[in-house]
Parts: sequence; structure tokens; C-alpha cells
Amino acid sequence: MNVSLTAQILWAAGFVEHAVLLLVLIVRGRWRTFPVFTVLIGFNTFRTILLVTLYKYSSPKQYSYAYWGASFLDLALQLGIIFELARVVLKPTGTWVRDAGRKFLLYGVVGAAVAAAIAYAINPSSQGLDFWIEKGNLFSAMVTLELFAAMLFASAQLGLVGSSHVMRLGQGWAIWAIVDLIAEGIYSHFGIGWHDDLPDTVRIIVYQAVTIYWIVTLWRSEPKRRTLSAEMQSYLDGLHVQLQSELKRVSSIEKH
Amino acid sequence: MAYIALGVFGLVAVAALIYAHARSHKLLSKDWQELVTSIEPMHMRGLEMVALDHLEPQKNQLRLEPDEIWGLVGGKEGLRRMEHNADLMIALAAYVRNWNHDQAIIVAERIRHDSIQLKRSVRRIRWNTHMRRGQLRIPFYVHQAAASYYLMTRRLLSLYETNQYVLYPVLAEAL
Repeated sequence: MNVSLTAQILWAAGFVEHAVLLLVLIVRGRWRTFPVFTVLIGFNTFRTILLVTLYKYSSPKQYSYAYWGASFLDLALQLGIIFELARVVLKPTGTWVRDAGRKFLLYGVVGAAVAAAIAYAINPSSQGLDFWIEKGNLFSAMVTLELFAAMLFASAQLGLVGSSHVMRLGQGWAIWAIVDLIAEGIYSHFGIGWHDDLPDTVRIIVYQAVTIYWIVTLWRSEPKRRTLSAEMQSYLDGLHVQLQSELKRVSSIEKH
Repeated sequence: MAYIALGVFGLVAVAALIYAHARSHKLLSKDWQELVTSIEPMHMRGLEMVALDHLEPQKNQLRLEPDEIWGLVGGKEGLRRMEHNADLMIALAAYVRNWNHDQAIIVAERIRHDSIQLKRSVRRIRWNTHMRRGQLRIPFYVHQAAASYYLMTRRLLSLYETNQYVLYPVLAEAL
């Protein structure tokens, strides 16, 4: 099978970015906080190699099986990441913040039901199997976007602000999920292959830009908590003790 | 029609994301001084009377009339101010993490619980007022809102008194 130069460049770039991100997650120990995200990035790195090899050396049928199998696993891991981010943001002390889990679940379930109804009502322009695949893609894009929005909205409503890393990760996913939904909407309405697959190219480029953003942000350390120096703390303690004893002395004088 | 629904779905999700981003950015970008100066003053004496009437019932616990309760918390404007200050108080409690991580997290959680209770009561008051129903229940919700706000201020001030007695007077003045 022939592969266009643009596709080859995007594939190569995607592989390098995933490999670098995986390295950052392992070397900087971020995998401890984001194990599912680390698995997804590792899986994507492996997937790129597998799909390129199959695309070049196997039949279209084998490639198609591998592509769709990987896509389902990808979707399952994406949903896992949403719950992973929710766990980090909505369970800051190890247990669900009161109302947080319930709010997230309520918004999530209602949003998923609305997404299912919309996906059912939309009739993509493609025919046969592609018709159902497009409906499925549209549904998964809507669910991913709405679960991210539900999680971040619930956390903001409850005054929960996550660490810098988790918020950056969430922002990256949210941007990609918006572009993904727009791309699927276009494909659904105008058909697959619209303008030489322009929406897909844009979607891949946005995802790669987000990956680079994650590499930079996860490499950097979290902003350090401001702490008082030991000298300053000791000075303040002394000042406090002095004020207390003087206050007592003044009170006792007033009583007399 | 279905595509319009898809568009609306996407727009609602994007609006929720923008709201969440703006809200977290607002709390993260403010330093301590900005947080404190953003606190809108409340009539604390009146609020304390209503809150203690609810939290520490005395023999004459029905002495405050509904209109009196409403006036003491500052009416609609008082409710709006309580809601506005609630998020700031959570951020101020979280700020103490810089000096006492464990205590600040636990106190911030308690304040957040009070804040949820406060916002729920305020929502119910507004809903009942708007729908012109359940007028009898409104004083109960006002009591709950005042008690939650009072507990939030007490928890926050105690946290600062223990960990940041230098900043404590400034905060006490603002609240």
C-alpha cells in the first residue's frame, strides 16, 4: 500500500512525540500519579510501530482488524483517563469530596444519555458499515468531551483546584476533544474523505501539539509551595510569645 | 435538527470548560492580599446572632422573627455576599498549606463542606422566592446559610490564629 509523504511525516512525528512523552512520564516519576495515562501513551507508541508495519507489509484486512481493535482499546483507556483525572482532582485527601462524586456521576450520566440520543438521531452521509462506524465515532467524541467538561465543571463548582500537572493534562485533553468532535461532525455531515481528509489532518496536528505541550509541562516540576524559612518561623514564634506575655502583663495591670 | 442538537451539545460542553478554567484561574492567580481585599464585608454581628440562634438554641429560641432574621443576614445582598466570600475562604484556607499542609487540607475540606451547605441553602431560598412557594421554609434555609457561613469564618480564623498570627488580624478585619 502507498503512503503519502504527509501521512509518513505525521506518523513519524507521532511516534517520536509519544516515545518522548513516555520517557518523561517514567524518568520524572509522573507515572505514579497518572498510571492509566502512562499506559495509554505506551500503548500509542507501540500502536504506531505496529500499524506502520502492518500498513506496509500486510493485507488491508489485517490492517483494518488491527486498526479497529486498537481504536477500541484507545477509547477504553481515554475513558479511564477521565476517571483518573477525576480521582486526582475530586479526591484530594484520598476520599471523594462530599458531593463531588455524585455531581460528576450525575453530569456524566445525563450527558452520555443526551450524546446517545443525538448520535442515534444523526444520519451520517456514509453507507453500510461506515454509517455505523461514524455514529460510534460521533458518540465516543461527544462522551469524551462531555465527561471532561463534567469533571472540570464539578471540580470548579466545588472550589476544587487540582495541581498544575493534572489541570494541564485536562486542558490538553479538552482541546483535543473539542477538535475531535468538530472533525467527527464534519465527517458525519459531509462524508468520510471530505477535502482530502482535512479534518483528520487538523485533528492529528492538534493532538501532536497537545502532546508537545504535555511533554513540556510534565517535564517541569510543580510550582513549589511557599514556606517560611526556619529563621523567620523562629522569629515569628518569639514575637508571638513576647506579645502574649506583654498582653498578660497589661491585663494584670488593668485589673489592679 | 440533529446537527443543531450536536452543535448545542458541543457549545454547552465548551461553555462548561471555559467556566471551569476561568474559575480555577481566578482562584489560582490571586495572591493572599488580593484574596483578602476581594472579601465583601458582612454585618457579622447580625449574622452571628442568627447563626448562634440556630447552632446554640436557648430557652427563648423563637425570639427572632422571620423578617428580623432576613434583615440581620442582609437580605438578598447578604446572601450574594456570603456566596461570593465562600470561594475566597476556601482559597484562603488552602493558602495555609504553605505553612501547615495537613491541617490546612483538612480545614479547607471542612470549609468546603460548609460552603456546599451554604450554597444549597441559598439556592433553595432563591428558588422558593422566585416560585413564590414554600415561604414558611425560607427562614429555615436562612438559618442554615447563616450557620454555615459563621462556621466557615470561625474555622478559617482559628486556622490563621494557629498558623499565621501575623496575617490573622488582617483577615479578621476583612471578615
